[in-house]
Amino acid sequence: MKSVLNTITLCSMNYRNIKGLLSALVLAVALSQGTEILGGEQSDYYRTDTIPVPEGIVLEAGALQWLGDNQMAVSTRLGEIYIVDNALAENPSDTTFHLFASGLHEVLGLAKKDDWIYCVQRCELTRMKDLDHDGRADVFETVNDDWGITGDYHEYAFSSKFDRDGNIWIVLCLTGSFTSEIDYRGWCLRVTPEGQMIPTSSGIRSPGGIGMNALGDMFYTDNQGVWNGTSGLKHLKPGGFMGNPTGNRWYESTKALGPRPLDPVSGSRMHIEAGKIPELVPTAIYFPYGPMGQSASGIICDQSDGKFGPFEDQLLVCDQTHSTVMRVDLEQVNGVYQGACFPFLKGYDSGNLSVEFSTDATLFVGGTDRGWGARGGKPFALQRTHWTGKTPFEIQSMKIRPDGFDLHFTQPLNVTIASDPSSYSMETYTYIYQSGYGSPEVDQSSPVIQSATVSEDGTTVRLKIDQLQVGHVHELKLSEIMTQSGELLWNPVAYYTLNEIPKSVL
Amino acid sequence: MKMFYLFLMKMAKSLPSARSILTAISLLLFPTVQAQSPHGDMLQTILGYSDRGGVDVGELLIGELNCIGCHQADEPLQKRLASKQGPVLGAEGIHLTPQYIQELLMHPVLNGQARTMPDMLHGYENDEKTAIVDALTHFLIDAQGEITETPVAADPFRMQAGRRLFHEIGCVACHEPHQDAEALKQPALPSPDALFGGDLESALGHSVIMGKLDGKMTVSELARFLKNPLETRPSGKMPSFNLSDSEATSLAMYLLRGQARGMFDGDAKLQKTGGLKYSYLELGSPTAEPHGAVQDFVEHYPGTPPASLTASTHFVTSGITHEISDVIKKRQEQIALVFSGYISIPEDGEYVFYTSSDDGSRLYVGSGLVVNNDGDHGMTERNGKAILSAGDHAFKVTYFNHGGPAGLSVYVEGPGLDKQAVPEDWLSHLGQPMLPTGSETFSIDKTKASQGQAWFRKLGCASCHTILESGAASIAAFEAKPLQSIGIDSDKGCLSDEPGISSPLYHLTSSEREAITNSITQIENLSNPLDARQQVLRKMISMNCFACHARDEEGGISSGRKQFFLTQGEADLGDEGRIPPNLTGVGRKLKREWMKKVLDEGASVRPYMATRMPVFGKDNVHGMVDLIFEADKPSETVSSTEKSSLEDAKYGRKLVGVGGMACITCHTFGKFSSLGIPALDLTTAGERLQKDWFVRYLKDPSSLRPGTRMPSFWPDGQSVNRDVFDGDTQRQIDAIWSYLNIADDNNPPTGLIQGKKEIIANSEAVIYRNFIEGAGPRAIGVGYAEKANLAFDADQLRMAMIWQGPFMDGARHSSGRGAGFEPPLGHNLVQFPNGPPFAFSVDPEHTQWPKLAGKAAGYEFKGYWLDSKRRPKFKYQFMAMDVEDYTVAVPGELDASLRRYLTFDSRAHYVNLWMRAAIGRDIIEEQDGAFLIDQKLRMRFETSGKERPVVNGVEGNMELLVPIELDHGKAKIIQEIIW
Repeated sequence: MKSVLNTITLCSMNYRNIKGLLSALVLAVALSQGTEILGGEQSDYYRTDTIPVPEGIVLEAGALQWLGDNQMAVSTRLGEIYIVDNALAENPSDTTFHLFASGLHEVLGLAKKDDWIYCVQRCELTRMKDLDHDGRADVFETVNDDWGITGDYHEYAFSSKFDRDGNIWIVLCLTGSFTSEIDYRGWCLRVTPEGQMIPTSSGIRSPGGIGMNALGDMFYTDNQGVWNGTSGLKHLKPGGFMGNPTGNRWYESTKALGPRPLDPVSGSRMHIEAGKIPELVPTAIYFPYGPMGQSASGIICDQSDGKFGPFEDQLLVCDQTHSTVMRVDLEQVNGVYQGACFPFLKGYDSGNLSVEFSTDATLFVGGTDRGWGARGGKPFALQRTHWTGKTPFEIQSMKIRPDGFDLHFTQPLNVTIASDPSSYSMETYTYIYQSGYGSPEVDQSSPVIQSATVSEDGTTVRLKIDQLQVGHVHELKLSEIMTQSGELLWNPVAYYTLNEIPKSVL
Repeated sequence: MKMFYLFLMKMAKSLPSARSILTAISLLLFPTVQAQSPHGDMLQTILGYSDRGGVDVGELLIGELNCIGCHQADEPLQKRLASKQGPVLGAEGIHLTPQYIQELLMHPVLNGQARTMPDMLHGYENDEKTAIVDALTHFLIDAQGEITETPVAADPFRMQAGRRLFHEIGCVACHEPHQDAEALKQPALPSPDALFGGDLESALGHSVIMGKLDGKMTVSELARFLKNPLETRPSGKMPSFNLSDSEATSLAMYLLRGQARGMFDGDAKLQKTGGLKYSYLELGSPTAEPHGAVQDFVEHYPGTPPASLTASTHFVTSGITHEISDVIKKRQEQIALVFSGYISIPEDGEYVFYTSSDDGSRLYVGSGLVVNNDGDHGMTERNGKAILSAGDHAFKVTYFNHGGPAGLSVYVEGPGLDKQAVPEDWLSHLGQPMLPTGSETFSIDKTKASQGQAWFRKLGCASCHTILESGAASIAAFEAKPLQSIGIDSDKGCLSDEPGISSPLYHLTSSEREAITNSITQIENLSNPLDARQQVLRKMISMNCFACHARDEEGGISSGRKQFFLTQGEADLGDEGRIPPNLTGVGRKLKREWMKKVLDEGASVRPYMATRMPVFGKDNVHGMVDLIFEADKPSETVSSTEKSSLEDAKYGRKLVGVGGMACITCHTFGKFSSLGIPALDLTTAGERLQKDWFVRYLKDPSSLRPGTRMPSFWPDGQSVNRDVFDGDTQRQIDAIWSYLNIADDNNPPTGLIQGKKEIIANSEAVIYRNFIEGAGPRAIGVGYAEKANLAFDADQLRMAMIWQGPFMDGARHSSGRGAGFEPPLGHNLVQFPNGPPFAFSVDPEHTQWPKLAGKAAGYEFKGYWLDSKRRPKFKYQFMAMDVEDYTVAVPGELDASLRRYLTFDSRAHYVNLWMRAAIGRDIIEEQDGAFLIDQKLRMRFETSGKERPVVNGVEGNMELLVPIELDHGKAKIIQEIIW
């Protein structure tokens, strides 16, 4: 933790105006009362512990499924499914592992229905059952295998949990992440309870995870590369085109969708192409490359009813390279998803790939860095994160308004500072939508924050902004904002991807 | 028997018509070249920097136009200007055709090539000018000496290779691309469209004009130039790309493809041309094809492939060769070569031909098979005799290798001729010889040549062009007023509107003239010292380094050209794998010695980058390293403590390896591939990098390489690793640096050396579902505790192969990204036929086994059920029939065997349904009813029906078919497999 003295020096150096004096005053008061006056640290709010993996098990956790009964199923990239028993044990070393299945092909999706466990392998959706109750699966039924693989390692398949209609959705990486050599590479398919496959969305490059929001709409993460300027979270709208035209040849093979959409023009911008291509679904959230992460992966919705902190119904999205979990607050404007992402949990041991909540709102995170390096540095890991019960001071949500944003905070604000537009700074940028690999941030602008109005209860700020930029990330920095007791934000930054500006307040 | 040609000549009267024909041809062939702006060489590029601080454009132009060739300058100024020399001429120089020299001298303006070369004859009347050009042409052709060489045979596949080189290695960084990048992605076979067509996008920026090359030189001459351009163009403006001989020839053939335009026309006028045509073929996966398929195939080629061939042929390459051997092959197994053309027999008599090959080969002369060395065998020599008349005979050699070692040599012995490799000049084919367009007979007139020499002297040609006359000293340069004392007020000078008869006429734009004039009027400025930064900037402009590299916000690849910068292979590296590095601050990044190596030798550490760092010539980049270091010098001195301890290095090794920061997940390490993408080799860091840069880079990679995919492992200066030195950032980075300075192949980080990871079936069966070579991407391997194994192909629903002993090595798929197919580990591998397992026929004797398999043929995989010993019972459907397919291993005295139980339950009544159990060259039914397949595999069947299995086909291509007789929809087959 930074020392209090440093902060005081810092403040007195920076705050040369009335606001500065005020905040110095607040600080002084806080100090005299011995109150915590800094932005907190992760350990104050969330505690992560590591589940020891028994010797000999390589737990490159591709997917997680909470089974109830204190059990977590973990599938691995090497094709095993382990069940962690006593998974919520107070002491992580009291957990035990048993092998449920092996000999599967790189399992990156798990789900559960009745006494069947469903998994997606590279080649098929399979369901498994333990008939003789010896703890190991005996039946491996092929539910559906209506897509192709050529033998290229990049041809991954990620699958979702069951949606509201009992379907499992599967996103298929391109061949080598650049081409679509065989059926439906670069597509999202869904498999019905009867085992029928329905081609659902096109335009996928290289997914890292798939999951639903609180409304049950399906999202996946797609990674920086051709046609992806940076990694992003995309809404798998049925019939939608996610932006990478490589796999669009398969429109010829299905009647489930309409005709092949127009090809986007390389070098354009996504929002411009979306104006010309009705099927193109703009990326809901861009994760700026570097500040937020480098390889977006697993997705889970916090539906813990407040048991995991004040972020109910928001999405938690992993980043494999940075070994982090990011937070995403979505909203729908004119039928298009968009919203803000925020830094959230960091310091995991390996490259976070899979993520799952237990029923008691413990967040389980599984990781691997094989083939793709990760900050954590460990080859694999299974960890669990609990909320300590202490609410961090954070931007709880960021919502678009016709003339700016509403920022809702988790605690009442120091109104003087929060009402001063100069407490905020905003920059916008977007990405080149192109057939080349990735994109730098381009078309930068610096919109003017005209006013900041704090709500009566002191928890919401309306920012009135001149020149919102459609199709841009709006990067908001607010490191001076503090609570009434002088606490600074844990993460004083937000990145809002703006696809649509509402005509009136929603 | 060589075909000679000479550039012989007869010129004066025919010249105008020859020229107009030339122009017409060029227009026809290269409309895009002709249509481009004449402002397209370095002059225009230099002007682009006119508004940049510290760049005297006039000075750069003076250097580019080599003004001091005539207007002498003192040594410091000479050095400073680093003027561009004209090409070396004469015997040692670049060898041009007479038609090109004439064209260039008569019409320097029309020909974009002459952009920096002035018109020296502008003041002469037409007749006189024609005579001077004639004399000069005779002089130059005489000086370069008689060219006697066999015309190179056009080889469209080489042109295709040249096209790739031209657009990938960096040529198009300066020159205009000939195709747009999208068209280049098509791996199409050579075609007129691929080689001649294509529209170009704009936004390329300026290009250095190559001019009309087709009439300029021969393929071998251009190849010689491309291989070592500095020899004849010593200024290094055209750098060397370190091309191999073969690359240089391919590139030259592509650039001169207009010389062989006729090859693609319907009425191509083919001529007897040196060398044989060859086709090289690779068939599917080396182990996937049934025995003999490749042998059959090569004999059928290029006709219909034999029925036994299941994989679609992978056609690899074709071309012209002068040597009949297997050197063309690119792999060992499942390959075939077909050589064809003519053999020119010198005299009547009996000839003995030999082939020595592993595996089989055949040699045909005329329509007769002379040597039959066919079959699957080790290196074997066979011969055959033929009585042949003098002259050309059709000639063909076929060769294949199924597996194991490979080799092919062909010899001939004849009247008065000892056994020897078939002489190169005996071989020919009907092809297209490549000759410069507009070539006519040209015979040197010595009188004219000596007049030409006088003109060469008088016109001052030698001021720019070095020429050695048959051992004599160079012709002296022309001397005009020294640069430092010329006035520009002369109305007859080089820069005036109408230069006098003795002044050269430069075709400069007004802005170019203005820039030069400004520099000369303030000539004293040329003596003002330049700081290092300015000197680096000038050098990078004049050598066009900026075409590839950006530095301090200057230069970099133009938007239209970016698409031509590619990554080789499938390295998933993003732009860092294709765009040459930004050179901002490079003087604080690289070590002096390394930078010198890069500049002097084109040293490179990015094998994944298709674009090559070229060599500009040591003299031309002399002093550059010092200047860059001076220019980039940090404002305060950086402590460069390089001390390292063995102890530190050991911790460094731990941090670089798996379990530490795992740098090797992405970075290559000496001979070891990384565990992921092939990012830059870490063992080169110590040799290349300055420590200070390394430390800053590790702390915040994107601050020094914006957009890099390298993540920071010390975000905000805090280490993510707390295990080593309690997370002390500085000590950790110091330790990594210490390690990388001593790191080599002997001391790789943890995690790079991967042993076998044998997957073993102990008391229970074990399943390995992955990419298994020979069983496809949906393979399911089953290892039985009895040490027999099988691989089931869940795509085609067939038993794909069986083997004994060790089951599978899991190392490939559990390390790195797990790319590729892994072959079975054990011994006695038997592969079963590709294709569907079942078929209908009314008459098994005439079954044409269908090729359509999998879902398209009505098959559906349903999964598997494990028994108490974890042995799978596969379930699948064929139309309305459910199949259960369950195999157990039976221990044997030596090797285990397999017993397979197939159960059929059909909702429809199918008749004449058959299962194909095996194919082979030879299948024998033995007395006890067992079937012996190719002497190495025995099968026995028990079926629920009355019909017996049958053997179908002829020797060399037999099938073992088992009837599936449904009784009330049900049938059973037990298949015993002993091998």
